[in-house]
Amino acid sequence: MSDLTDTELLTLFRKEDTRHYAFNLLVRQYQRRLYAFVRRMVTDHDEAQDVLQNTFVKVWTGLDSFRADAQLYSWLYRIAYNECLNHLRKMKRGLFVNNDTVIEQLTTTLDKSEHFSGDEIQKKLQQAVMRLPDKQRAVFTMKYFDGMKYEDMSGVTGTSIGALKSSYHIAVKKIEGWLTTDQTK
Amino acid sequence: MMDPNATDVLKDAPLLRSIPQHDPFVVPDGFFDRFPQAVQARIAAQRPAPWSDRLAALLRPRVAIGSLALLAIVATTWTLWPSGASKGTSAFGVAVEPEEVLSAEVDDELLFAALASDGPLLDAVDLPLSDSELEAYLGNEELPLDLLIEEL
Repeated sequence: MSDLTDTELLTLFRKEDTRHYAFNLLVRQYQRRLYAFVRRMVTDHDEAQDVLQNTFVKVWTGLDSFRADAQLYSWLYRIAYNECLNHLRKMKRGLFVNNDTVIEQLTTTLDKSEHFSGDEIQKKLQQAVMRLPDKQRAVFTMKYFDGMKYEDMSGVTGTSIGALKSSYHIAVKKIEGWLTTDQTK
Repeated sequence: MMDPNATDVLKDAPLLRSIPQHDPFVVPDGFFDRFPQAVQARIAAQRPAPWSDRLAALLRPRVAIGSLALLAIVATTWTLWPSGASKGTSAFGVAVEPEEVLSAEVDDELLFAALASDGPLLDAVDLPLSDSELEAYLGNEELPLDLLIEEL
């Protein structure tokens, strides 16, 4: 099945008889890329699944109001980004814990996870990424792993390009520092 | 994939740069085949009910109120309906037996209606005293006249 363009998908979605079909195609087309981002943000597979489901339910609700002049992927990414931040916020509020405890919990999840195939250095990198504050982790993930352009990231996060560049630069320095410290231990 | 700006930043991070970029997270088999159905199921679960169900839900409190009103009308009619020819009737044509009054089974409104129709009963309350006798009686009782006047 060849992928349809965003315009074709939206045209199909706006017709009542092809609405569900078009949405199904949209989910199939974007689920892997969005999952990769969400999984890096929340680490655990089950939680990533919940967040991704919430994302697509919101997409279903809001797709009628989506303006065709914007890029569909950026819009989907923005919803996923907001869902991730909400999820992490709820996680902290629900556990009545601070950031460090959440990081510790995420790290434990990673250690125990049967769904992590990385070697030792990959695990260290992921643990270092998890130590970043939520928004900075999102910025680092978008840039480093997804290779997004700052312009697109700005559309997703609602942050200026300058602030994003600065945030990414600081994130890289922090991670390099943590990796170096871990190696010398 | 990596843009030039990002590569510039990574020049200062040799260790990070040396890590091969591949996705270490494993996804369970068939997850992406099942996921679109899971999303559709979530959407179906929260889809609003069809218009007939919504209309029924909208009408439900009105139907309940209407039923109660109908029940009240039936009960009132049942209570007020004449139940025997041997019983005395009031000015409103409602039969009230003394036993019913004593056992307090009769409605207050019906009782008052029945009493109102008995002229002689009200006449019996008429005081057989002249004004001067009444004045002497009240003076003897040391009643607060000003309060009585106020009440009248």
